[in-house]
Amino acid sequence: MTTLQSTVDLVGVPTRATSRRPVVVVGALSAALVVAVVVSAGRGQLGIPVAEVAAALARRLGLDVGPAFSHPAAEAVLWDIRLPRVVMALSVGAALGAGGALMQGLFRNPLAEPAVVGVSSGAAVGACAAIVSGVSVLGTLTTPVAAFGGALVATAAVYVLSRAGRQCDTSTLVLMGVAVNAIAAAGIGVTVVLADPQARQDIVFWQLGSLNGTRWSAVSATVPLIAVGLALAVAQARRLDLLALGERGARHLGVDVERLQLWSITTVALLVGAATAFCGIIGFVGLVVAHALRLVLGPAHRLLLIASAVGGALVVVVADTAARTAVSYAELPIGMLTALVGGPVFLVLLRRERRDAGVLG
Amino acid sequence: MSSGWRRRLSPSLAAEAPAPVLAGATRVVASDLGVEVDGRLLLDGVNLRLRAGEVVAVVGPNGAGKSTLIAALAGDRIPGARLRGTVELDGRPIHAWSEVERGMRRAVMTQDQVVGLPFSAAAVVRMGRAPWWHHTDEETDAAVVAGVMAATETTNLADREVTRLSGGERARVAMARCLAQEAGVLLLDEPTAALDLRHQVGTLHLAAEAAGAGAAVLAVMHDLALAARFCDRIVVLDRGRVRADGAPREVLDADRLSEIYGCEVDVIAHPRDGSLLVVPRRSAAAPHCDITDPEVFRAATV
Repeated sequence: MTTLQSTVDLVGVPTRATSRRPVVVVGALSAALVVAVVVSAGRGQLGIPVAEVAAALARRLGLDVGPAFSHPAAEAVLWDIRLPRVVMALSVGAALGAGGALMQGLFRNPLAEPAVVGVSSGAAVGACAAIVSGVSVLGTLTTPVAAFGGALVATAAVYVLSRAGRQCDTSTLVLMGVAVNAIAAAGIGVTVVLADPQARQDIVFWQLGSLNGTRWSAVSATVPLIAVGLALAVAQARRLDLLALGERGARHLGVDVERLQLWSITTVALLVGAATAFCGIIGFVGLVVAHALRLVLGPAHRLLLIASAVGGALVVVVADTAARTAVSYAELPIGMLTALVGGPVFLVLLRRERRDAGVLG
Repeated sequence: MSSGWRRRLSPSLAAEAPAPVLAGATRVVASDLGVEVDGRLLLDGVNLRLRAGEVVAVVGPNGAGKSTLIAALAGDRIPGARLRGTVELDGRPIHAWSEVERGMRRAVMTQDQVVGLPFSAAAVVRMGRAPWWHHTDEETDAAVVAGVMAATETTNLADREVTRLSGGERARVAMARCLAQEAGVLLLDEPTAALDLRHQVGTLHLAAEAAGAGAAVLAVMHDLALAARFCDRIVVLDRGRVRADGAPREVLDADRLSEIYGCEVDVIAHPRDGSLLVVPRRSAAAPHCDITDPEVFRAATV
């Protein structure tokens, strides 16, 4: 072994072989997102050519280029119906992607996901209670705040009950999720029973997840909450990395673990609550996106959170476009779509993990 | 801008960096330290002092309380434990320092090196710089990380996922992380247990070097000869109590070790340099039974 003094030079600095990869990946995801937004805004019963959508967006930014609308109703459809929905899809996707990555870091388990663990259901209970009770003390913010409250209770409960040692054991986590989801389902059931027929139908559809009928008012209530959540998540990212050494290991490196956990739980609840409040439960986005990106970018949370936000936004914008255009004159619930794709992925990951742990197979 | 609200929001900004100390200055004082879990005394009346510049080995049989001692000296919470006595770190009760300030002053290498996510070895070593975020620049951090990785011979592992390393490689990465912390007190729980001979010696050289640079090093060890050769002091722990504390020559007494370990040993001087070797007697550790005796054989197989 060489001595400490003689080797303090910069020659041996471990350089990251993957140093350009983050820029490429996040750049590609962002470009794909922009394309998806423009294409999605044009698709629907009234088709608007991509060039016209792009030109309309450019005009809003003060650039007078490209063609004008060819259909007289196109402008109203684009600005009042399509764009609020696309912007909502984008923000909800960013919240769910980052929320999933954040949860996986907090639980130190790659299978932690808001819908699986029951955080989304918790948010749903809060939102349903607000919808049914008709309370509106906070205006349009009432539902998101109630959803945040529900998500906070669910996250904190699962976290406190399932953490043990260095890693949160997967079986415990999934079983906790089963229990929390069951309790939440009962809670939603209560609100359904108490609701009038119209609200009842609303809740049933909303629960499956849908961005149908999104208005700018809902967008403006959601986006700031999600923006705050994303900023908080990125601010905790480096400390979250240290949690991989276990709570004790992180403390040895100067992390106030309780404070970090409190902030992370609050942030997860904020992101998931805001995402769930108007759009219902859209599951598995955080799981699939964060998992795939971790394989490409590695586990460091700052980059992973940012990339997962962009990736989640992309996935939800695409999924929502499919949900409203796949079947003519009908809306598929987006939560159903993401579960159809994400559920099997979750099963594969779960099985692989069990096999690695020597429990299954 | 270092206004008050930023300091309140960020504990690492408000942290007080340690002042340099002279060799021989007291770094850690444990007084009448007791740890009781479920009515069992894991540590009982331990008094211990660690000074800048010395390497202290803690030895003792399994279950003697060595790891508990490390946890108590580190200021860890021990689940379900009742604590007695005090630990002082750099002149203050250890819990009077903030989490970040403790991180600047003492580094801990625990026995298991499990990392929950597949970080690269270099990323894990870089984590050792965490207490110094906001206090040093990136160049300093990179230089420290490169230095400790070269010293622990982990540079070639830099890009490997730490979850895929062997036990010995993980232990060296963990050692590198501890050294990267540049703390004045190093608490190492069996740093050499998983290592081959070359790296055992290398790790103890690094401990000695850190001590030479002003650190107080405490290492739990099982190899008494290695402890005798590389450490300035040996503390013998037995059932939670300090049975001996002093230079290897004073502490390593054949009768005392035989009694504590429940195993007959000889302590002999190395023929060339006179350093002490502790050698178990051939029959000492074997259970006193005869497998050829039919009674015993039956009992053993039932």
